[in-house]
Amino acid sequence: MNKALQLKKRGSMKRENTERVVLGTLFLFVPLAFLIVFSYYPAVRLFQLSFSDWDGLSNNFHYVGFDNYKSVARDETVMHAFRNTLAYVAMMFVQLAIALYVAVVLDSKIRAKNFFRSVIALPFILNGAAVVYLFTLLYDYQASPINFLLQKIGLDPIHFLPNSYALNLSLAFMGLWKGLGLGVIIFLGSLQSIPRDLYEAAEIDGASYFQAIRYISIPNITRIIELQLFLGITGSLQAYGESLITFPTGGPGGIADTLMTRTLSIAFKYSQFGRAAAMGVMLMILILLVVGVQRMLLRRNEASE
Amino acid sequence: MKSANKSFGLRENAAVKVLNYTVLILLTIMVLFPLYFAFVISFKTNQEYLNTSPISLPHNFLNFDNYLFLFKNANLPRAFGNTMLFVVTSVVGSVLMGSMVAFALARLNLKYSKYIMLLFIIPMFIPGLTTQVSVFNIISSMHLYNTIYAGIVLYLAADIVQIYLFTQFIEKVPRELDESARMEGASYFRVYWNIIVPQLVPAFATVAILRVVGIYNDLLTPYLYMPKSSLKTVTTALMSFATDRGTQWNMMTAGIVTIMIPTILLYLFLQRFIIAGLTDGAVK
Repeated sequence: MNKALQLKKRGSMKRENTERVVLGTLFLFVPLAFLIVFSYYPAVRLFQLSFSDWDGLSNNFHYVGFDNYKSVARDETVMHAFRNTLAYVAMMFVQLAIALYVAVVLDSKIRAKNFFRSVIALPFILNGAAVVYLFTLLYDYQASPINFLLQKIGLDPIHFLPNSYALNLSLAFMGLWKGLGLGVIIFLGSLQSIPRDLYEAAEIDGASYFQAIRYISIPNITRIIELQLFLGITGSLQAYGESLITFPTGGPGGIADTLMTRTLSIAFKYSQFGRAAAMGVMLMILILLVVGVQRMLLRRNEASE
Repeated sequence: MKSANKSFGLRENAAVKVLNYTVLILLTIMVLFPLYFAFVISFKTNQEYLNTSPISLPHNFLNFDNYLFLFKNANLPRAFGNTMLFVVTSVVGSVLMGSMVAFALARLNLKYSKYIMLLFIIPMFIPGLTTQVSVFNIISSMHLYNTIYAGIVLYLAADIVQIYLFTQFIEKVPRELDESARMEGASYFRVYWNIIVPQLVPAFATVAILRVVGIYNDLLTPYLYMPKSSLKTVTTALMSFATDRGTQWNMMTAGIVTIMIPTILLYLFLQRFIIAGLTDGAVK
């Protein structure tokens, strides 16, 4: 009797086990397939293609060793694109600093904070291409409403897209305009989750506004700052939309090319997919390196505090 | 977000206060003025645009000629339809796949669930744009290039990266709920469908918001993989309109405003959810 019950129980456990494994496999199968085909395989394939002369059309290709890497390393236009991309990285730091400042302000006693937050966050949900076209109007020397207003008050109109490096800063500013609000609401969300009694205690102890920010607000959101830096670095090193739309051909002499737009035109305009893949690999390694160094630096800071 | 009673009371001095308000007002102007310019210019006729200042109000706010021209020439209904299709398939797909993966990994006590979770997390660190060259290679060898499936498949693939969001949410569903259902003899699938899925609705809302914003904004996927005119999304439709009318600013601004309006409306009505969703998406 007892034995029979045990056997029965074991039988049902077995059935339960099969049920778990079968359902688990069913549930995981499609997502894992997507993951492998579109996340892991492309990374592996990128390495493989970077050693090839694939032209984007034919079904086969030859391996060319390190030729692509050598030619990318020697390529002046790639160095140029790299320098241009640094303008986006610099603008990203400015953007994060302003976002943090605005979030701290909105977290303090201030009137109409919901209004300010709503307006400042608005651009993030706007279509990116539409934003870039809007800026091509603002930046147009002749048509720009800003230049119109400047002339109205007796100032000289501005060349927003000059024939120099500064043009990249103008392009990168579009990203700041669009992305600032997201940074603000993410910082604000984490600032608001800091327990308020910390501030009350600080006030009783006679801490000033700046001391409270320096010793309570900032230390409590380092994880979010780190996250925003990670997203910011990956995003700005891969910037392309502003440049691609404003200067579909990279501008005179590639003056507006970024690493991404250069990669895309090497692949899709010149059909040198192998070389573009080598650039992709190099950019990926660069991003991972920068992110890794950033992590290490922040960790060491945390440990020393 | 009840922020009204959450602010801290430490006194900044008057100068800091003035500076803070000044910056906030300047930022408000910086955001709203460009939108105002685009709006007023989009209602002007060619003649009017050339002869009036770019910041003056149009003579007639009911002059929809630029908008009509845009809808006729940029094939916008088609573009909005395509974009909607991608949004719907991607939201449905990510809600289904995300909840299934989270359930399988968090509730089924599978042997290797920790390692499988890791498999889902690692790709978040691969900078996605750098691999476009090989993704193109894969899409074209699957014969999906220049078909609607290129977009559907790639947006679904992008959803996978957001799966960790669901695992965060599912941790908050009390285990007693599914255990008591199991006691009453419910199958694991029933537990998933009748107990877990209803509890994950807030997560679905977050993911839906992230996907709408992401897909509506995306340029690269339609631009690289679906150049055919019948496959254009709002973004690429605006881009081809710009190639023809790029310097006719009254036409261009009509395009810019039209493409911005749907998300602005969404933002006006669902702002609290959108802000919460974007915060969740980044922080969790």
